[in-house]
Amino acid sequence: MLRSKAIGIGILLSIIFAVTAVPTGETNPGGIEPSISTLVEANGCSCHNVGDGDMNNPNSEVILNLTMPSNFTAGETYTLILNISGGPNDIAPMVEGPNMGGFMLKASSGVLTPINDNVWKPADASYLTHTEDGNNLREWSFNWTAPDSDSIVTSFMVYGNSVNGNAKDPTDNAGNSGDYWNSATFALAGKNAQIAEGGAHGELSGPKKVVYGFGIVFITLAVVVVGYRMVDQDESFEEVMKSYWKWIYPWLTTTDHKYIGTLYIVTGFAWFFIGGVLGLLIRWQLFEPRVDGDFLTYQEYNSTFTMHGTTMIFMAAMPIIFGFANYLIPLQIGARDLAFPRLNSFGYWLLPTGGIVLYMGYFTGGAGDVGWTGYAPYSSGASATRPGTDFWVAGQLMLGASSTLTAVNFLVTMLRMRAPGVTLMKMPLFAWSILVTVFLLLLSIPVFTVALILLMADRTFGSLYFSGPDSDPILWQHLFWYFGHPEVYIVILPAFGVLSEIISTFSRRPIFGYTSMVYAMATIGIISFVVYGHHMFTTGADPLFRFIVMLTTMLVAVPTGIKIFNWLATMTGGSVVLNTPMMFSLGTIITFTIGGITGIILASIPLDIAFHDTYFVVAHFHYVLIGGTMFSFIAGVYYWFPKMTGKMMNERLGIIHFATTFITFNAAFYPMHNVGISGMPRRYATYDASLTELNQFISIFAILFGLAQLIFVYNVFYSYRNGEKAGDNPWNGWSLEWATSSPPPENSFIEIPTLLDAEEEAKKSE
Amino acid sequence: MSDEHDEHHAHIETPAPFLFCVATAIMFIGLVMATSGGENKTGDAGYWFVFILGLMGIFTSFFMWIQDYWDQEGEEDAHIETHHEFWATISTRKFGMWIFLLTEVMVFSTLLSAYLRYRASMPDYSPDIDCGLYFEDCWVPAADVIRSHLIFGVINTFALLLSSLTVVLALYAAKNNNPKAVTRYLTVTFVLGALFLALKLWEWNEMRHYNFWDESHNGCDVLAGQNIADHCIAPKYANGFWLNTSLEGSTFYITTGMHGAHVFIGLIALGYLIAKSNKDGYNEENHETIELFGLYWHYVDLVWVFVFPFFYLY
Ligand code: HEM
Ligand SMILES: [Cu+2]
Repeated sequence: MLRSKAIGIGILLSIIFAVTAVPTGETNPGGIEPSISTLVEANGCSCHNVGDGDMNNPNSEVILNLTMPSNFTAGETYTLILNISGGPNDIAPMVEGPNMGGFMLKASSGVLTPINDNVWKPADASYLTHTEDGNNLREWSFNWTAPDSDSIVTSFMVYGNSVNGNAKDPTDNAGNSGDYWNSATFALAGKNAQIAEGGAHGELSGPKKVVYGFGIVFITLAVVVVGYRMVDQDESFEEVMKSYWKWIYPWLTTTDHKYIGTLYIVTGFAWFFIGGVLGLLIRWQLFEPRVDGDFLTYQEYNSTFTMHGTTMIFMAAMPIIFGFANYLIPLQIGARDLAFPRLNSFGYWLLPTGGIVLYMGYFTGGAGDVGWTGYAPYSSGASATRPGTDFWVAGQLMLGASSTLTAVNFLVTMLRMRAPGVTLMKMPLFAWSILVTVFLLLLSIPVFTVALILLMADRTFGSLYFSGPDSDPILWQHLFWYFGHPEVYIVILPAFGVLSEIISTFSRRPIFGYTSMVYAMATIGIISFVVYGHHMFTTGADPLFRFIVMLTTMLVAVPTGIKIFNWLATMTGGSVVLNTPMMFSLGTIITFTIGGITGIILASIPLDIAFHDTYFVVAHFHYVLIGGTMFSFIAGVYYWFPKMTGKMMNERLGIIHFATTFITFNAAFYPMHNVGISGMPRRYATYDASLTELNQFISIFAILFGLAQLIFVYNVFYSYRNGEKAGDNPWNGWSLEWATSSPPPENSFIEIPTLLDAEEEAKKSE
Repeated sequence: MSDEHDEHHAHIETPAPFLFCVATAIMFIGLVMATSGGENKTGDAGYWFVFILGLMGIFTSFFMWIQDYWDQEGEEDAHIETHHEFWATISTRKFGMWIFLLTEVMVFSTLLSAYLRYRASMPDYSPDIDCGLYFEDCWVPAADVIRSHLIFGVINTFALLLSSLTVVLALYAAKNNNPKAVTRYLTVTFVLGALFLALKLWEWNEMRHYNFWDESHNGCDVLAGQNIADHCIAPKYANGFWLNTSLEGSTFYITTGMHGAHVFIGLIALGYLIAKSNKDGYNEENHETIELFGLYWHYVDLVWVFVFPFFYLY
């Protein structure tokens, strides 16, 4: 008792420490420096913002020219000359006179410096523009210092304004009429830059090295293990292979829900590991504001976050959920297996094979780089990686088929195969959460699958759904988010189920408000189909649509709140046992609530217009996905490991794992809110230098978070071998899975159990 | 079903699902590389070999999969009893089929709503409105391309409706213990489905190359503001009507293509049913699989009832 109190206090102190250790973020005074294109395109050409319609669009009469060397050497300084010709000024040519033109210029790398009074660099800005004096010219020169690396290509983005000279006063509306502007981009390659695509003949790219690295490690390991057995144990090669074959064959052919559940869980965590490595690559790229190719090229960065997101949602979170569902649902409802065992095995095997298809892009010059959301027309256009993005689409199709079939299977099983006495309203809450989840899957996944088929047709056969001149660029977003929002509930509802089970068991009391819990989940499921528009607030959607969506989105907080209060109420009246699964559950409640609150913030249209596509959104969904789904399923592993293996997990390692995970998670992800509020966009490979410190903090703790998970991996292996014997019901749980032995027998139950009412139970024992 | 029995045959073991998935992955890798791999990212024809290999793998594992069913009497894995009255009114497999059809409903509603969304975004072609020089500002429906040869679409509609009837007749025959008739009716269904697909492919090809219009093509190109008479071409289709020429084409071929794919899968299932019926015969006790297939086939029919007016009539 004293010990668990001490642990509790220790954890509380460390949380407080973690929170105070987080550097505070503040909004950039004056806002984050806008990119020059937004400056120009939002206002017309800066000072000339009040001109007539001409100023809203570029005009091709204006010709921009940048004189520069044919390539550059790292660190060298060059003088570049920009001039404008064409446009209104040519009508009454003047060699030099009042108000002839202006410009803005930005370089993607290197440093720009003015060398005379005609050009200046606004404070805190990284672009150059003309001065009052420079206004009278149509040619300007300035210096550019090349970046430290000359294996990259620098691009210069230029906006030039050709002015007719009739405006002395910039606020004079009439005076701005007749001015034309245009923009252009110039590329200057470093001496050693490889212009050829993807450096086909040169060095290996970063992610490729990782893939090959793993390959080499795997092969070496295989050779060592097999070699060891051959040399040391004196077995022939065939014998070794035969023993492996004997071991692996049952796994390939099984349709037993317990085996398949185990396969799902292990595969899910394996992809979680790979996705995690990709996540750390992202954070390492963002360790400092890097230029293209410093660590990852910008395109590699895009592939990295795409594969990270896709892996985590479709190949880690969902399989882990299906794994637990596979293992537990038949046990919880008292069935021997799922209704369609072959289909179940089919659904599982589509996962690793689909995953491999999805990752094939890494071997063919760049994985998919369109984001996990795959927005068209970027994904249907020529700029997305080829064939990487096609592999991404094909892999997603396979994963989609897998979840659809599995959902059919679960729905049939749960409605038809419950043991005597297990009525719907007597199912454990985990089973209920899966029931609602499979409904969401059935209605949403096919829509995404069709959208993917259309995308594939566009990319491969040239159909025009998303890419033609008359196509609607928002159509994809509608189809995607119709699926995408239910999808986020698909991954959180089962987590609610797990939490309900664990909290009830370790409060030593049935869950408070069982019926309201069921209705809350069902309500969340229904509402989730009408709120998807909150991902599209900034697409120019109909204001009425946006308003309705905003209200319904906020409505989700009600059933979610009911669940949270029910958990708290369950604990209030119970005698709480603090052990690893319970600690993780408590942690989940905290982090998930934070994520829910930022969700409400994002659901408010005015705030979302500011926060959309910033790191604030990244913070939000990591709080709900890691802090909600992953945490509760890790709790689930600690909770059900004894049932699945018959061994207890090591408690001390578990507590250490929880403490480190919880602290590093919050330290890494909480400041993301701050950088987001300061205006750091998501999905960018670089950022404003003023945010470096916070980003370094985030990256360091992200790496520590990754390392903390190794404790978990070690604990699982260690406990599998050396854990204490668990017995059938180590936690004194009530649901039916605890009624069978640990691990469960081949048939799951020797005899199909009957769930009795308390009265019947009493009668029976009389 | 006794408990000892259960203990012996605890769980099915079959490598078919695993092999099926591996083959699917190989098929997709081949397809993607063949269509967008290679030096210029326009496809590496060598990979069609991999694609075919994958397809062959899929067929092989499909046969492995149905082998189990082939050898036993019915297609049910194990009879599942249910302990809850309400849910016991329908068999497990039938329930599964209904839920699967629910997902199929989502598939075609998505396709049709994407179509309607585009259809609604442009005014329909009419001689009274300004559609631009090539009619590019108007929706010139596929129905206009087909109009002069609508008869094939009508034949197809009847073929499909009739085939729905023959499935029901097959089921009745089975219930009346008349296995010969079952085989016969199933074969008729197959022939009607195959006729549908054959006509469909022929029609696609004619539309793609604009052969429907050949005789009268000369001098009959419509200019802006003119009427599209029954046999004249909208100028924007002068080079054919295909997936990549217009949104009208994309929506038409993809939607009818998805429907056609469903018919094709139905034919594969029918192939199995006919063979099985020929070998063992379906009867009073054992006819559920025909009923399940019937559900699917009726659904595919129903979809056509939507697709036909949307694309052929309006
Ligand atoms: C009270 C509950 C929630 C509300 C009100 C809410 C609201 C929102 C809103 C408005 C956005 C769009 C932000 C933007 O892109 O500008 C968003 C994004 C997101 N949310 Fe939530 N959310 C909630 C719960 C969840 C849960 C439970 C999950 C997952 C487990 C989740 C996962 C995500 C993800 C992944 C995104 C980013 C999607 C993307 O653009 O890639 N959210 N949320
Ligand atoms: Cu959402």
